[in-house]
Amino acid sequence: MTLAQPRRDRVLVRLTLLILVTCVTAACDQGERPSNLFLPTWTLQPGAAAATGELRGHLDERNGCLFWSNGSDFLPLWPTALEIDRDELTIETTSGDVLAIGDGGILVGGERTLEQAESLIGEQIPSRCQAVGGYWMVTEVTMQ
Amino acid sequence: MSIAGHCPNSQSYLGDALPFIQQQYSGNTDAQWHTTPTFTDPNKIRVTSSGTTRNVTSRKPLSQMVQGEAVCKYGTTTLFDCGEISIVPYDPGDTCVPSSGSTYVRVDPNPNAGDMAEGGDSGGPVFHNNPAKAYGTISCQSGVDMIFMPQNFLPNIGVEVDITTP
Repeated sequence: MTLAQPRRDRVLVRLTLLILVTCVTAACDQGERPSNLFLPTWTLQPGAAAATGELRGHLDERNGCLFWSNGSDFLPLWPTALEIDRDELTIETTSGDVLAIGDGGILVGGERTLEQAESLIGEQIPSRCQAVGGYWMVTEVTMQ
Repeated sequence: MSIAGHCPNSQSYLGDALPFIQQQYSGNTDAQWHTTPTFTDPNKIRVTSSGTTRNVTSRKPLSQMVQGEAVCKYGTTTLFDCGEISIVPYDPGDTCVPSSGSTYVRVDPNPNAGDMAEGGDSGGPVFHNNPAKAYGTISCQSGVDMIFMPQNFLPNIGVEVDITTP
């Protein structure tokens, strides 16, 4: 079935509007993501020894910082080998599960002071991301 | 009660909070200690998941540990296993302990044993024999190997392994 020219134009206009609205909505959604996300990372060299402590908690985001919360906020220092989606703010765990904001789990690794953390990641941690609980060098992530 | 210095400072045992006293996580020491105000902590090492324990009757310092020596450990995750000291003294590097030096000990697992340490094992006891001689506490993992801190550095945080005179 073919449409008459005026009706076809109206349909095209509506389709264009729909696409525009969808794009604007998507853009707004993108806008909710922090534009200044700070993701501190470090590289675990093959064969290197790493601490085997455990930190239980859940993933949280505030002011463009990803915290690990369990009554106190820790700033995780993520290994570069880990898959982190900066747009969706999700982390692929060691077993392949995907950890999102609010999800609980266990971070294997060890606690660091601010000075030790900055030395490990090779850059300064912005004041908005400095954590009351401390800094946690992550070697593995598992979901709870 | 002592655990690894890189563990969270907030600790509890069977629901009871254990007040944090002191820690060091750098150089030759990876340890912290807590008081146990709601119970008495005997100088025993747990060696099975069912709760079997061994009395600790002696301590061995780093200076007396040698390559090839057998040691055992108990970790919350990997439980009881034994292995052999492969490198002593050993420098595990900064990703294990910041500013570490050659004051740690590396242990290979015995054949058919699993990993000597995994996430959650930190601070577990390293020992040998029954009654037990205390060697140190678990710090790190490297592949299947375990790295431990010799117990003779615990005085850096103001404590030592308690022993029962046999």
